[in-house]
Amino acid sequence: MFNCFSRYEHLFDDWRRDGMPGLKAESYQYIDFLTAPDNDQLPREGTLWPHQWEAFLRVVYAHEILGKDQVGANGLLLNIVTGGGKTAVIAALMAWLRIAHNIEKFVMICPNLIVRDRLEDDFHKGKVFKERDLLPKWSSVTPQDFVLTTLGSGREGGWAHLMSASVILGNIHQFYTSNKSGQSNLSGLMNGPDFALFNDEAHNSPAPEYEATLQRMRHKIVLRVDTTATPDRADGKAPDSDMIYEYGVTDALADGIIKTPVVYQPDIKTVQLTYTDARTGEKRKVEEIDWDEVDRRGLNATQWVTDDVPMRQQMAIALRRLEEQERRAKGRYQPILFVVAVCKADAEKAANNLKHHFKVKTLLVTEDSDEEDRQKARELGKALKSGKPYRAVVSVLMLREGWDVPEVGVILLLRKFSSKVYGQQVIGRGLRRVRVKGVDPTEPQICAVVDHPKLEHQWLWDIFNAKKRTGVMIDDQFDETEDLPPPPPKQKLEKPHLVITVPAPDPSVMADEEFDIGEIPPPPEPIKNWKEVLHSIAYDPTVVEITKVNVAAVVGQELGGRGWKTIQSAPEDTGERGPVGQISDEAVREAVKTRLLEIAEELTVAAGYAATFNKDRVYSALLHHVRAKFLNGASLGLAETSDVEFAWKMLPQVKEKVGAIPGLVAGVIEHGDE
Amino acid sequence: MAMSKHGQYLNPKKSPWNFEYYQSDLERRMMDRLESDPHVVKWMKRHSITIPWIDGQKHQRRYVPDFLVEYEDGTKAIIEVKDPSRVDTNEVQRKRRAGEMWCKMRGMEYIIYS
Repeated sequence: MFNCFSRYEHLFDDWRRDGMPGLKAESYQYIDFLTAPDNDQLPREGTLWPHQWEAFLRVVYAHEILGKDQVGANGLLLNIVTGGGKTAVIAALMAWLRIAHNIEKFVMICPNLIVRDRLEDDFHKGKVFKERDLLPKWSSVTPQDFVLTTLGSGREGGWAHLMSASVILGNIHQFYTSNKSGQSNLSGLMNGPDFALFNDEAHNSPAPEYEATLQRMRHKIVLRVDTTATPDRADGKAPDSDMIYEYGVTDALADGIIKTPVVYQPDIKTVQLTYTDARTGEKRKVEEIDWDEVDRRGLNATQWVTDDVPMRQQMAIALRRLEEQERRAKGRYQPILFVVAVCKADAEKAANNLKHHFKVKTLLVTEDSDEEDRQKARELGKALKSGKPYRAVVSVLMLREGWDVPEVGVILLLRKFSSKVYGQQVIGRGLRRVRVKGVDPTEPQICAVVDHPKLEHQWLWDIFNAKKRTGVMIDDQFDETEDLPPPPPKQKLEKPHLVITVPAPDPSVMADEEFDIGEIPPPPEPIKNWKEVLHSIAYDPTVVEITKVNVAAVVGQELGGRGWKTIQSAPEDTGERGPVGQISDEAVREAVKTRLLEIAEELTVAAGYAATFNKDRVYSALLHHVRAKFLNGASLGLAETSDVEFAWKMLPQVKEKVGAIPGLVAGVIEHGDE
Repeated sequence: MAMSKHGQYLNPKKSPWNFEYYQSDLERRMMDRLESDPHVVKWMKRHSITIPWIDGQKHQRRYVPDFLVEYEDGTKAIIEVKDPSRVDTNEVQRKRRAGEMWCKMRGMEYIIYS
């Protein structure tokens, strides 16, 4: 997303230097209240952090000096890194709007319960206004004036509360006209006074109904401010607001606002592969091969973190890092290992391994977890006082934006990220600094990320501007007194007159090329007798598993530092292989179904069809196929456990072979059961 | 382990930033070139532009182009530096088309250096 403010950066600089001419008197007075007494370019200590101050001033400038016809017709967007303290900026903007513009109503939109709970906590009884000293005495506005109501929490009483509350916190769905209570909430809002809208985690907003709802509110909205750390989503869409401030990971690292991520990878010498007949369990072949040869064996990248042996090895590395973090914490807080899996079955397997094999108290959170477990996940950091804190939490993609437990000190990746957005969001979970009693704000903190070279995440570490460290070799574990890395230098916009402004697009140039997306060969003819063709696919029951990994060392890469270094010898072999890594019968059945659905979607999209309308057909065809080929014709629920496990192991082949026949998936979709 | 040449290009005269990050040697050499080219008046590596493009599966994606450049006659351009071995991949071609379109709509030029 383009920073619309860069073209004004020069003017903005002059404006600040000249004493902010053109502001409303009250705005000037309020800014003065937040300004440091000895330096009018900086915020007063105890109020906003410098980057929050920069964000705040740009909103004020855009709103009062530039106006909506120049920037932010739909709204303004602040791109602030996770852990960068977006809430304080929102609070300062509320205070300013209340004091200088007499706005008394504020609506905060959040995407999910976890974000909502965090905001509710911050704004409860005006907490953030008090903590950051955002309300001047002369204004006679007090924290109690910001009465908070949370929609859908069971505590609000409909219209009456909506009308009397000053700050309304809710999910966008609670304003959708497609449901009764949404209609009621929306009409309550639209019959009240003008308001300011804060759209948190705004990358969620480019959905038709979401945008339509924002449009419906539009004529009542005095100012809309979006906040997000990832404005450009995985699917390429972005909110319709104008970005005016960008405070990224590298900026925050330079300022010491977030922890320094350090990436650890095993340095592998040789690998043992075992080929097994997935149907009978009979071992066909065992071979020991060099690491450099391994790519020719057709292994799936994620096997490096999901096959039993390598998974445990990665866990052992992660647990070493956890011990280091625990020593650094010195009992002031409990550091937590955060394990990210790709599906429920893997998550369950990982949790079982941690609990039973490594004897680590572990919390498993999946989409099926009940409210009690989610509550526990939110309060992980606070559990130290209760005496029996969790040391690890395992999750699929449940714990993403909004789940902010600063105690996360180690992240173990048991999945491959191919999307920039998800990757950043997950790493973001570990970057919020621990700010508890006894921890100095300048104390260096790191977040250890345990990764695997075969997951090919270098691009992700590049986002964090990983530079290579050629530093000292450190044996074994980090000493807790070892100096942690100094922050990287800060990238500053020193010469705003050199900013290049990008011309606005000329819609008339759209021309005929608009939908020309390059030479795509014509799609293959959909196969009419697809049933026969599908049934004729033959499978090789031999599956390969990584059964031994000879790790020479673990190498670490400090992001913002200068290279990989060997930081410790390899962890001990994890010893006997018990059934502890086994997953439940129910979970395997569930996993087959989930994975089949994913494969159906992937194949549908790869064949050039819209997933939403067509994947069901493909799924149904694949399910019949799997039943016939691997489950002796039985349904997934009734098939023998051993058959279901066989099917599970064969799914990668199913995807590969079905996808390899041109026109097969298209045939399923086009010809169906005719 | 793959090593790419990362680093900071310090005190550029024509970029507004006090330094710019480069992710490869090609990028660093392009920075040298832009600094010494008398026709170039401004360049930015950190420019927050993302260009939408459509991949082989017809999915919309976004990519960040390498350089934003302004010449002495006021012409503006997006400059991409590409490893010669990768110039002809389908992905690069698709991004190039999207980049050309994006520039055309803004009266800008689109240049690939390899």
